[in-house]
Amino acid sequence: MTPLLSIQDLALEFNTFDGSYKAIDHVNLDLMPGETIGLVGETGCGKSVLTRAAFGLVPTPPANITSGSVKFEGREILNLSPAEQRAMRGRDVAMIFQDPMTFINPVFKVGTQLVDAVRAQRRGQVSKTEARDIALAMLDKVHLPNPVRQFESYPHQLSGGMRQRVLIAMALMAEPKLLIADEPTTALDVTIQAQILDLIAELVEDMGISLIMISHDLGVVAQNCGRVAVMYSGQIVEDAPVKQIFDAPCHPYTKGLLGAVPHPLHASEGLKEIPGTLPNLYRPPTGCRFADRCTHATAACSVKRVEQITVADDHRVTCTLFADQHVDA
Amino acid sequence: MGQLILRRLVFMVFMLIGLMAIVFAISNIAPGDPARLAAGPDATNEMVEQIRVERGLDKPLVSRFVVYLTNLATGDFGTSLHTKRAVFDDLARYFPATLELVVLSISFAVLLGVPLGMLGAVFQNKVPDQTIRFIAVSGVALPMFWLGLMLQWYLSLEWDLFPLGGRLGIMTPRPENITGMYTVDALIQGDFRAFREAFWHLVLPSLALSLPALASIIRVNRAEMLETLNKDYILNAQAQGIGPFRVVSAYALKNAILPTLAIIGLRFGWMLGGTVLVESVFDFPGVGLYATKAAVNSDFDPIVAVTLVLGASFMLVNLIIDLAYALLDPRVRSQI
Repeated sequence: MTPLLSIQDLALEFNTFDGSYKAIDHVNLDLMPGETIGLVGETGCGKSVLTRAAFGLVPTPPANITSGSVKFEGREILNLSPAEQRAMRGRDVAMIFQDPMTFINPVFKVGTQLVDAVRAQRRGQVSKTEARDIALAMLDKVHLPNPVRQFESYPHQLSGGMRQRVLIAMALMAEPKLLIADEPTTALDVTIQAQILDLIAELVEDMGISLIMISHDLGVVAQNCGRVAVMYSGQIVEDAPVKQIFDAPCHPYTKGLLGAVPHPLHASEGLKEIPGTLPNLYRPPTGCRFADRCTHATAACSVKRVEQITVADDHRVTCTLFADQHVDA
Repeated sequence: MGQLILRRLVFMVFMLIGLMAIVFAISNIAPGDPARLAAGPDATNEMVEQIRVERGLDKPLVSRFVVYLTNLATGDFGTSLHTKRAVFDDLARYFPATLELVVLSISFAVLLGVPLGMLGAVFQNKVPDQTIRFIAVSGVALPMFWLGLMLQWYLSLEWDLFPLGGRLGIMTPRPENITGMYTVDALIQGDFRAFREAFWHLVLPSLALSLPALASIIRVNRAEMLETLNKDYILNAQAQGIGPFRVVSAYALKNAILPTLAIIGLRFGWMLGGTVLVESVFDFPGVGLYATKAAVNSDFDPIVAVTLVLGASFMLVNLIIDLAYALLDPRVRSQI
């Protein structure tokens, strides 16, 4: 089966005044139709940049994609013209973002923005009235109370949860094949978080959409995703089914992340932090980017680039500790 | 909304009285005896004293101010010494000319400045941006009167494209007086020849008057556009596949124009002051030239009246700007 999205060997750097910042380092990621994958990692590890760059949403310059390919349904999309990329966005790939307060335009009515989005997604094939009907139907689907009234409202008249529902509606109106949810609940308070996550799960299942859920919250990912890819400093260090990640994590960084999650029953034990800080990506280490902070690091780790190793069926790790456990999947 | 306008208009009256008090005080502190000036060089001391009493100049400053305000309320702005006419009639003649000039200048500055600022932001640091920046920096750096002289020298004297000064050619019949603005009056009467000529006379002084405003509108709007184009809601619009033209000219511009509006209001005030220079250079009979002649002749009533009229115009324009804010930004609208 062709993967819906196949990112191969993607590398990206930002050319800045201080030099080139190697934000994404030769990343591989495949997503099958209908699959839900969680992309986890700490702030600044390249989760958002990876997904945005794949669909032409990172301005070049300052960014520069130095190698790799991104295929959507088997078609290379990195070398598409800006207009062709635009045609894909919205229609095939939808995105919802972190902060509903800042991702919705403050000076246009909610309805205007929804109608604009529908018409853009359907390449102007629908009239304004049809677009309005589609948008209203979708607002109903995201359980926004009083859709007709909210249609005439301005964003500042809506609460954070309502705005995120509007943005979800905006993203899913075109019935895309892939939804990228970029920390969709980080800016919301906890009760609303649960509602929004349930809503996304419900819609993704109903509409049969593939999902990439970007998060730094392992709990969120465990609940919503079938597979997890752990990112560190612009690399995917471990990529496995969700059960595998939680039951048998391989990469020391993944273990570190799991150790930093508070345990509901043993809160008094305190959290284990990962010592050290992120590597300087203007001059990244030649070997493993995590070696400096890793308790298992050996001399071999810093010598040369560490290759991805398949340790079990659908479970890949980028770590020298597993060099001898390679299995052919 | 209506209530806001009413409140602001009432507030404006108080601001104008404040403005009057300052101008009235300054013109009375200034050296020179208005009674002796009015009486003429050959008058005896008795005649000067008589005039002083007649005009109430012997009374204390405060009571003279009250009398002045009462006269203003009845439309009596005093009499001009150098034109020998009622100041009110002079203003009725000269103010429409200035209004015509300033409205054309600010329209030119806004209609050109906003799109140029937008273009500069879209093509940041590329050739169009560099070119626009050159225009903007020149606009800020060149003094208005010098620019006016250069425009006269090249576009009028050397190449004979535009008239040198004034409002209409000497031989052209004046359009019948309706608003006092020749272009408007000519249009109302369907006299396109007079319209064209009046407009042609406005071009050079408007250019000179609008360039500094144009320059700062370009700079501010470019900076605001750059900031807005980096906002999250722009990324979201792009992620929906909305086209670049709509993203820039609607989603970004409607946000970026708000701070630019403040500059437009401010620049309008500078422009009113600039008419004094530009009207002198182009011998354009508006209130600026009128005020210059009055100042040279120690003729205080016209100066005070011109200050009042220009001050009121500035306040009105800023009221309009505030209303425009409310019109464009729903968050402002919900607060009033």
